[in-house]
Amino acid sequence: MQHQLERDIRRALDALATDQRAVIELAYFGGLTQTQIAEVLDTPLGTVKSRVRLAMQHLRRSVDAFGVEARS
Amino acid sequence: MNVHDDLEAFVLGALDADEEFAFRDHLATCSSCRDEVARYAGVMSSLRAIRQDGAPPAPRITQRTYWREAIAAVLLLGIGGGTYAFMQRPDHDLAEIAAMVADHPREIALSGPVASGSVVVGQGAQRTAFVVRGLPPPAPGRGYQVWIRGARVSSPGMLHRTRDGLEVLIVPGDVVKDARKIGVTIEPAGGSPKRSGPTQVSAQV
Repeated sequence: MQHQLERDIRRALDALATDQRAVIELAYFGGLTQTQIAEVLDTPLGTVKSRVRLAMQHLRRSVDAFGVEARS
Repeated sequence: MNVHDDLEAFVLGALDADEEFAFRDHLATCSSCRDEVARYAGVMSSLRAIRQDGAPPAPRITQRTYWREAIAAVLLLGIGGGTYAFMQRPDHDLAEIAAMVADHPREIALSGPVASGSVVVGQGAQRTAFVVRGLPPPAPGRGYQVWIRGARVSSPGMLHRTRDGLEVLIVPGDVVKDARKIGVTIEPAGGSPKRSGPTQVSAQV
């Protein structure tokens, strides 16, 4: 079960656009806030915020879809 | 920007303290946002599944050196089958970082009796990162020094300890291109002209 979760989320992360995956990694795995990410990537804060939003929405759709796959 | 737009960052834990405070206030009065937050439970439990050792989310890093720790964390986790070397300083444009993230860089595993780590050469050979986990804090006045044996023995420098207990060094260029052996030893904190202490981790290339 844990392995399944792990495989699914890795697939979902891999499917993200590179700039979206980078903000997720820096925020969740690096512990940075959006403001810090904007500084690290030298990117406008608004751009970082929209990437975070889009990336999370994509991940949710992927994870929901994997859940449906697993049940069917 | 609408406060609802902070929802995903709130779930991810990526809001600044004042934003997070404001969003919590908003959540108290907005049931549709509470429902939305709940719908991210699956994503967050999946993300937790790939944190090594089931560790909690990384602690907030507030110092100016946070990027170094972020790099170390990302390097070690190696999400998606590769590890990613990010840039050493925050003065690179996103295109370069995106290229480094997208291309799997070269990686050499370091191992030792109590610690292990990686040497990662970023895409384009612009940076080399040394990351070691599991080393005890060095005694006062001592530190961990990296050695590279190629045609001769050289040292790119001392590892720096992060607050998560990782030892990290990131230097420009591909410094392990001609390496046959890479090692880390305990030396005086300022660095030693030649290796004298016991080897902590090493790799044959």
